Amino acid sequence: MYLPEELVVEILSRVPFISLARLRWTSKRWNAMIKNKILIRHCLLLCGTKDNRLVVCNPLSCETRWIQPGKSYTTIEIFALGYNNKSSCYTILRMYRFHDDFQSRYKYEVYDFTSNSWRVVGVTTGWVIPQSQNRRGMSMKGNTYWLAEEHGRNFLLSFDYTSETFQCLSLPADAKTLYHYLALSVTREEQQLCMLAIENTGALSWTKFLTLARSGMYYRRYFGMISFLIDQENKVVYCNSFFSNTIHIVGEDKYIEVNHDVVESPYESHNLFLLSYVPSFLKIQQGI
Amino acid sequence: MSSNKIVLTSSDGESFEVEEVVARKLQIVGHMLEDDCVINEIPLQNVTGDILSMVIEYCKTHVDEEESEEAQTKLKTWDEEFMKKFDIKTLLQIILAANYLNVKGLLDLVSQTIADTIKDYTPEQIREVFGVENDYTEEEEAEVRKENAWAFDEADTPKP
Repeated sequence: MYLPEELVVEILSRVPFISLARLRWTSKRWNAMIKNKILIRHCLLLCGTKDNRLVVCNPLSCETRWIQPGKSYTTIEIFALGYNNKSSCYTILRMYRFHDDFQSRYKYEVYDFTSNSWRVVGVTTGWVIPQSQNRRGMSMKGNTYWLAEEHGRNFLLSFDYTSETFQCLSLPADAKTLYHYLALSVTREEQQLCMLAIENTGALSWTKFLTLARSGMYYRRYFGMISFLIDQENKVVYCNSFFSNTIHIVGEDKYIEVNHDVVESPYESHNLFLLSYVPSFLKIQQGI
Repeated sequence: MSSNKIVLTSSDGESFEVEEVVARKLQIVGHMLEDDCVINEIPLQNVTGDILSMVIEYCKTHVDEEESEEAQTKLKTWDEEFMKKFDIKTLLQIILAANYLNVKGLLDLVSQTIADTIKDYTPEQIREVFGVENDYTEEEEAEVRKENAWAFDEADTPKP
């Protein structure tokens, strides 16, 4: 039965990535549709290098694109990669702290892939992204999310690359019973945001996923940065950068040693970080 | 609440008398009623009687959508059961109808159901169901397969 393209796109945007890769083989039209309209947002990485340069890469095809740094590049800046739906283009967000009337704020600008240049967009209000949080943010459906704080209140901060604005969203309603927010993650299949937190009872909970009783897992808030992934069977893989050479598969009591001597970094000791990634041969848009 | 009755007629001449609040869930009908409020019979050219009856069943159930969590959960369960009745060919007819009649909730529901159904399909099954012709040459097909080899299980690979 023939369906108009808009309906096929509507359906395919709800199909898990791994199936999409197989369905590209259906026909040339389907391949183009999946490649150009659906897969485009999920498969590039933005990386910083040891010598403070920025590069966007597709690890699968080994394609890279170096980014011209902004004027005052420092290590305390925040960078994130996103997708502008209006111009159908990748964009990089750059935030850097400055102090102004006893208040610490961020100036933010975006990178235009076509003209290879940074454009200042604005200055943020008084919130901060605490150092204990993952400042890389979590990328979901083209936008980036962070756990941020203002006057001791936690909230979900997002940056919309299409409107180039920040939004402050409240955390889930039951968050009142939560004692401390640890980290955000995003599920690979449905691209759903989920949050790891410690409850007042000492249990760890994954919003919308599962709650675990206090387990052998070490979750002291003052140590390293925490990252986690949730797989299709709702298994949780947990990593605390302070215990830098083990990741923990929760529920199975499995610990995996990770050998990362090769990634020596002059900063932040050895920070192990878990990342959800979908391989694809997407081409990186090159400038003129 | 007393409500006006509206008669909806399908492409194959089947008529359904429904309350106006139900008919308005079909946005195409809602717009017609706004343009001229005295119509009480509406012909719907692009949908057959058997499919229209299912759309109406959905709209009747969703006519007063309550905010409460309990009501939402109940509706969700109903939606799941409702979708289980249909095979893939019928689902495709329903998505076309939901799109033409402009019933947003049903369009979302049926899109998700189709996505869940086809995610394990092989490209051959997709071609058959969606009437898509394989326009790849052998070389091109090999290339796409190579790019996406990570997504194919051993079992999916056709035997030579």
